[in-house]
Amino acid sequence: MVNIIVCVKQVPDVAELKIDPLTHNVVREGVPSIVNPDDRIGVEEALRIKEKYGGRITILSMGPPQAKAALFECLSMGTDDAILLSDRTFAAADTLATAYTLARAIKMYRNDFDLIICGRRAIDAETGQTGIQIAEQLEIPHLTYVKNVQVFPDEKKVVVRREVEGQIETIEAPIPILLTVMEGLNKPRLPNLREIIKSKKKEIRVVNATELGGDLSLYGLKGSPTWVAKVYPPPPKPGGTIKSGEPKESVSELINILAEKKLIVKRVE
Amino acid sequence: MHADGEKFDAIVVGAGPAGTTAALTMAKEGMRVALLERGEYPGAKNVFGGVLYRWPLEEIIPKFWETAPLERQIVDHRFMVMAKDSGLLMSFKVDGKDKAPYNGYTAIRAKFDRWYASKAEEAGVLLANSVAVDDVITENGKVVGVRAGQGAENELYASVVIGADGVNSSVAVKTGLRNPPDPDEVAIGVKEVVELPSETIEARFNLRKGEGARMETIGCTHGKMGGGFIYTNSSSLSVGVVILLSHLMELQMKPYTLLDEFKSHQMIEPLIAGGKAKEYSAHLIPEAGYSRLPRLYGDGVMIVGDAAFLCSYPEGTNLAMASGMIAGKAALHAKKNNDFSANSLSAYQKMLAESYAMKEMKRKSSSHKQLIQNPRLFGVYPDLVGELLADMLHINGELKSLKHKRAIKKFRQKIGLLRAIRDAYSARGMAP
Amino acid sequence: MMAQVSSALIDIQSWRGVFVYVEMKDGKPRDASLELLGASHKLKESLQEEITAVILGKDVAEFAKILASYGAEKVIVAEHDMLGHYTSDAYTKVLSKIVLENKPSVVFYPATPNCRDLASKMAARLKTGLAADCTDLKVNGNKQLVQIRPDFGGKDLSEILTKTRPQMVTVRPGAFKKLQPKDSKVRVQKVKVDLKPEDMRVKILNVEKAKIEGSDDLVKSQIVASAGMGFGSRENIAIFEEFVKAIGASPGASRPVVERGWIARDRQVGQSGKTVAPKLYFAIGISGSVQHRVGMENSEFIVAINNDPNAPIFKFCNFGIVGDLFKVLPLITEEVKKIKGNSASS
Ligand SMILES: Cc1cc2nc3c(=O)[nH]c(=O)nc-3n(C[C@H](O)[C@H](O)[C@H](O)COP(=O)(O)OP(=O)(O)OC[C@H]3O[C@@H](n4cnc5c(N)ncnc54)[C@H](O)[C@@H]3O)c2cc1C
Ligand SMILES: Cc1cc2nc3c(=O)[nH]c(=O)nc-3n(C[C@H](O)[C@H](O)[C@H](O)COP(=O)(O)OP(=O)(O)OC[C@H]3O[C@@H](n4cnc5c(N)ncnc54)[C@H](O)[C@@H]3O)c2cc1C
Ligand SMILES: Nc1ncnc2c1ncn2[C@@H]1O[C@H](COP(=O)(O)O)[C@@H](O)[C@H]1O
Repeated sequence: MVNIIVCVKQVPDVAELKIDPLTHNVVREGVPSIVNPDDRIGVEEALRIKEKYGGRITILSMGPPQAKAALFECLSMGTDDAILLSDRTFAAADTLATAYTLARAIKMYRNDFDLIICGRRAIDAETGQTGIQIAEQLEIPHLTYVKNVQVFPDEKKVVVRREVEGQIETIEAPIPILLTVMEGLNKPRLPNLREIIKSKKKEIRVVNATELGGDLSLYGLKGSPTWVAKVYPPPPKPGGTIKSGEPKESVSELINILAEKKLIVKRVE
Repeated sequence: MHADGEKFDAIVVGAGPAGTTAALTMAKEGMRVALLERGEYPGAKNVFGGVLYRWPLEEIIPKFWETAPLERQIVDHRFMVMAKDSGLLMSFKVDGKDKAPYNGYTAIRAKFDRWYASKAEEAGVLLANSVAVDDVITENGKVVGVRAGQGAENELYASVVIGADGVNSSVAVKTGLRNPPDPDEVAIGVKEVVELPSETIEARFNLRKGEGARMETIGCTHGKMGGGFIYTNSSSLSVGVVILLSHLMELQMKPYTLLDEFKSHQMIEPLIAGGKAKEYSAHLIPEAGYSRLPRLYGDGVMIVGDAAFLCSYPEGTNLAMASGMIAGKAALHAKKNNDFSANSLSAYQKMLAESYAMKEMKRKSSSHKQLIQNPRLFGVYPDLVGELLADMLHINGELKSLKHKRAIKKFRQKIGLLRAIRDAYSARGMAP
Repeated sequence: MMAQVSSALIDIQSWRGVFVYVEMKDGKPRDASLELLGASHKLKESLQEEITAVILGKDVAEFAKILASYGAEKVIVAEHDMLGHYTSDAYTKVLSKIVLENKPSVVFYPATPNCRDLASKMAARLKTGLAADCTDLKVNGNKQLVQIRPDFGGKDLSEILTKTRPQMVTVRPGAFKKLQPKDSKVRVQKVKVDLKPEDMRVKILNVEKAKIEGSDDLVKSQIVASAGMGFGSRENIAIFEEFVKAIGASPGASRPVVERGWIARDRQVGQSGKTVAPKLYFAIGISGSVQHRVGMENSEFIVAINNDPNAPIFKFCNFGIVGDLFKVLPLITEEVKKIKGNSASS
């Protein structure tokens, strides 16, 4: 038996984000929301571990009520239950406040966990900090950039392969532990019809700040040591040369530049 | 049988207007219904002009206009005859200020279908998105469920399956109720959503705040059967062209080339100028007409809406909803008698035959065939109208009486009186 | 669970000085850390704080001089056998002790994988704010350090402020320049490291080099040329291959090209493929989606060929040719062959 918590964030599908041509701001309206891709890999890994050793998989998320859709999706992959932490008080949290909130929920509702799995990073803000900070709050070890996991439930340990900058580390670590996982670990399954139907009957437990309790000043914007003072479109890169005339001319100009920059050099025999 | 798979009273495939209506009708009376939708959410991939008519939605959700996500109430119905470099525009305005409920509303299906399906969920329907049904399961010739992929875990069972999966319906085809559409049984509609500020739309279409217009056009399809349209949404226009698929193939043109031509016509260009084209999409529209309607039911199965070719453009959603509602009623009846045989479900086709939906199909379709084979209506007439009016309105000292004579001569040469009378008769199906 | 320290309790004034965390890579201080010394100097005018390099490792004291030559005014060295290989447990324990004893107002880390791991844990342990993967830094009118970072794959920039101390920041490698090295005097402070085996909760069993993939040349090559959907079909890739051979580039591709099997999967450049930063990059028939962009935008000179003048790639290339690649590319191949070929006779 291995009890697993997967932290899942609902994110806008960055591939679908458009820039408003007038304001140059990112247009969020109408952009579909998805399960953060790395988190989906986390869900898949949890399912594979459960298939081997049994146990319970809980999906945990903090987000607006709409995030339920993401949780349903994870449930329909075959996970057992889901908790959504949702309250205005939680809004605008940075990673430390997010980690505090998620860690507190884990203590309150699922303290019998063996593994916590997070994504390496969420594609909206791409900080890659939250998982590690949850582990620190819970005073458990963590391992990042995990590319392979073996669980030994009886020995209360895991052996994982961590891949960083061309190096593969094989590491043994005790359970309970938090892992952050990334692309390449597995290929997430598509939910099947029966699980989709079943998932519709599973409850998503929605928890607000009062229920979660604790020090309310540590949630959301208030509890965040960092805050976003300003958001703006990136300045246009200093424009390059764009040639649209006769191809022959453009090409010869290009060749000249490349030769000048010594990017094409005469072959020395 | 299917040991661990649970069984529903009904499975509805497709959460468009037809499917959601059927599901809602059954769930309201306590049937256990699964509504399976291929898109990420209902409406995600839908393409439509379009106008939603009050009938029969009002019967299903009374006062729907108070809560549904609608764009504008239609008060201005426009019809345009377009020639290469001229256009004759007629506008009929009705249902002015504060006349709610209005007879028709523009809607964006991505929003509307989602809302509508949520109403079905409230009534107890189990809606499952991202499920693409690819086959039906039959036992002894009776439909008992559907498949959405390989393996037992992708099977679902029910007493009755309702195919509401649109014009390319797999339910209709896999049950053998009809074949995949032939190119002369479907039109292709291509559409672009052009964003404009609401005030600009109101100014360009001569509308008061919140009011909307629809415009249908003929003469923009190179003499082939079809037409163009513009519908006003709150802050965008749906601009598109519809053409019979077989005719498009004859033209050997890309559908978007037709749309580009339409958009750059002098009657259209100023209406959309400065707008930002947001999305481009294409979709088939059933054009088989009444005479080629398939059988609508079998043992354990019914088909509704576009899946059943129940569409007579531009009325599609209302026929879809009407057929969904009636099929739902037939299923309720079947449930009461615990008899889902073809014989029992034939009540659906009978009830439908008595409804406005089917009678309207019949009225339009009597002339359908003539229309398909008659190039004059979509090309010669629009061009002639343009030519004659241009001549008439061009003041150059020549006597109008001479111009009139010439016009009549031209008309005789190009068409002939008798033929014109016949054409008028066959065009009655086009009458609103 | 540890209680959080409310930020209001932090006396900002008592935290002084800039710390630059120095990461070791391949037996020497990593360039990205040296760049942060450069960044600190840029900010010094407005911040007026002492710049301290902090280096952890097994035998690292000898690098103090180098760090000084790149701008460190003080170097703190922590040496221990258990610091020979990075683990978050050991490193966090040692570094957090140093930080708490010295109370700097800012700690900079390079935004490399292990430093991002370390910084996250440090920030959580010290209950302070951490701005991730910043691409720029500045000081505002209130003498606050403003941390600038991209969101949504670079579609937005946000300015982050931190109300706690020490303020922690990871900075993207390459965002700043190193200083010209010059001999400078250093104050070196060696700290006593107190590490016991029980401090390490995880055990490293083995470290090996990741297998060199067939496309290793892609990340190392000086010239990379990538093919996009503009090629239209697998057959047309032939003219691409000829070009690649002529100019001596490593071939890459956009994702849809790889998905169609026109070019091998391990040659995909972009978010879910490889990140390359060659001297010269060709994007041929590639629209320039964000997902592709993040994998190649740090190339020194980007050449784009596309027949759509509005293709996003033209917004961030150095030289763009609007035209049909089937006309343009063979011309370039021909010219390149001329130049390279000529040398044989000259
Ligand atoms: C350009 C254009 C303009 C139009 N304008 C108008 C107008 O102004 N007014 C009007 O009333 N009508 C209009 N129509 C017609 C109208 O859109 C259709 O008649 C109507 O949508 C039919 O409804 P339906 O529910 O039968 O099918 P659809 O709306 O097509 O819904 C079918 C649903 O089934 C789903 N589905 C399909 N296959 C599967 C599968 N295998 N498994 C699961 N789910 C599946 C689809 O995703 C979809 O949600 C227009 C159509 C077009 C294309
Ligand atoms: C989660 C996720 C991860 C992704 N990861 C990656 C990734 O790692 N790498 C990646 O590349 N993509 C990735 N993508 C896909 C990415 O969003 C784009 O779809 C992709 O980069 C587009 O490839 P393209 O530019 O080759 O094709 P297109 O966008 O189709 O562009 C083709 C271009 O060729 C031009 N063209 C056509 N004909 C000619 C001609 N005859 N002469 C000259 N120009 C011509 C066109 O104008 C057009 O600009 C990812 C997407 C997602 C959602
Ligand atoms: N609001 C959240 N709810 C649940 N999990 C989260 C949330 N934010 C971040 N995470 C987890 O932390 C990982 C890293 O996120 P980030 O630090 O934002 O890049 C994600 O992949 C998730 O697993």
